[in-house]
Amino acid sequence: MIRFKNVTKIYDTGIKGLKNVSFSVEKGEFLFIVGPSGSGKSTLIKLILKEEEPQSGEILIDGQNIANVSHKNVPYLRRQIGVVFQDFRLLPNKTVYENVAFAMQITDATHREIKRNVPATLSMVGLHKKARSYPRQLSGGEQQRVALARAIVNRPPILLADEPTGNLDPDTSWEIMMLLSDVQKQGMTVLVATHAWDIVDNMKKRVIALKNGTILRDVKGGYEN
Amino acid sequence: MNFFPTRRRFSSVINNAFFYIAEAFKSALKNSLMSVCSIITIFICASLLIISYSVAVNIRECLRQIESAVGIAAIIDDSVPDEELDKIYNAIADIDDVKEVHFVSAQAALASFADSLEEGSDIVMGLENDNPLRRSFEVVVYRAKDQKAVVKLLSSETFVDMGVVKVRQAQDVTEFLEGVSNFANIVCAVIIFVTAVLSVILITTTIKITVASRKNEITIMKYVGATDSFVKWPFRLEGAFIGGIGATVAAAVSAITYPLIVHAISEQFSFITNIASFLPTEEVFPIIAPIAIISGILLGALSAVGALRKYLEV
Ligand SMILES: Nc1ncnc2c1ncn2[C@@H]1O[C@H](COP(=O)(O)OP(=O)(O)OP(=O)(O)O)[C@@H](O)[C@H]1O
Ligand SMILES: [Mg+2]
Repeated sequence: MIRFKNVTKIYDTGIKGLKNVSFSVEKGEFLFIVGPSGSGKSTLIKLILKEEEPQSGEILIDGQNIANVSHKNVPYLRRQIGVVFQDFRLLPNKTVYENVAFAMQITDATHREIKRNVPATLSMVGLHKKARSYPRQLSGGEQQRVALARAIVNRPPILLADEPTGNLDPDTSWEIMMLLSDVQKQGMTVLVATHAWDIVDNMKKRVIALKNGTILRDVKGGYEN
Repeated sequence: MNFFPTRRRFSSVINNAFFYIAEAFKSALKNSLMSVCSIITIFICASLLIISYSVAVNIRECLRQIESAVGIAAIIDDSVPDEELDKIYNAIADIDDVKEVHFVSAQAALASFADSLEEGSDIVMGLENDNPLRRSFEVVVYRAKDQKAVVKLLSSETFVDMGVVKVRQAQDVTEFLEGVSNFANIVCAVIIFVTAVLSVILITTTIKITVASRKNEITIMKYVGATDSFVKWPFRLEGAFIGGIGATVAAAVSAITYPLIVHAISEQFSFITNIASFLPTEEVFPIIAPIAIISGILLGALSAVGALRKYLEV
């Protein structure tokens, strides 16, 4: 589903975000990306979103080289990829419902589709009762659930999460990770960049460990120290 | 997986249009201070545009009236006997560019001079028997620009021999007035240009502040997969909406004040109204009001998009 072939990303400052990174993720797989601060986790995610361009190497999504997606068509690439960030990034002036509906409004969704998908997705993340609340009226964990609902409401084949639990306490973090796992069970390919070692250890999923922009380890089926 | 746009459904285009309009209104209301600033800016610019235009067309109109009113006077020597006047009349009427020729007797000249004095016409009373004014032909040409040629012809030997002693012409006056008109046109054009540039800067700045406060929002929209045009439309509509309101208010206010100002000027400077009249509201506003409103809408929309450009590079 996602394939990196010898990808190198050098920032304008000369700092290497990623050095010659290669790996591939199968459809429906769940992958953790771990590593110390500055190891290149966010860089990897930005490259998939085409927010940054690699200096060399290829990134294939579903067999297509995303270098061939023109600037104009980047939005259509992003509609195939749901994203969740550490800081939630909800629209403060819109309710929970509107925030999730917004992701559908930008596509060609009809009113009927929006009315059907949004409540269903909110139920899935356990927030159907807060549909009319504004983000500031929610806890961090609840806000992240909204962000997750927004990321998956269009049923994209891929879900990326960049430190989704970075601002949350351990219990809430665990709940969010369980939701991400549920998403994978519904057939989406899920990539999670995280610092939360204890959760990674417990979930027994595939883990890629980065350090200084290179892959240190790629352990399938769980992390064993 | 498809990373490319697919054909859009009509229903979704309509849905989007409603979404854009709703967003634009919400945003304009939420940033009401900024909106009011932008509306005032556009209002001032549109008012200046309308004022400049009104001044320019009125000057042109007055000139046209003056030009057609002032003719050429060919003054006849006292020694020419009345029987020869017909000959002179025919010779003048034969000139190609001449539209009309009228004979003005010395008495008529004196009477019209007395009229123009309004009060104090009794000064003229005693002059009736010792009239200092001479007989003349009043010559009207088709086009004001032909005056020079006709005057030259009337001053030529042919006419001097017949008894034309002097040719008085309005050419100098019209040339002067034309100079005034051209100058006024240039000044108005400069005012319009400067205000247009100023308003673009002001509106861009106002909308930039709005946009900066919504930078996060735009970034989020782009992450979720919104196209540039989807992001632009609400801002564009907001700008158009603001521009439209400002310009419409300006058009309404100036349409109401225009006749009042025209009236005041006519009262104050009656010498102008003696020779020419100003254009009525119905002849100025059906042209300039739509231009001002459309310019306001376009200016608002364009400034909004200009202010956005920087934030769409995500
Ligand atoms: N826009 C940028 N311009 C220049 N250098 C950058 C930029 N973004 C990231 N970097 C650098 O690239 C390296 C990798 O950064 P990245 O954000 O991918 O790390 P990370 O693993 O996500 O770290 P963290 O866990 O702190 O989020 C770092 O050294 C960082 O300073
Ligand atoms: Mg990071």
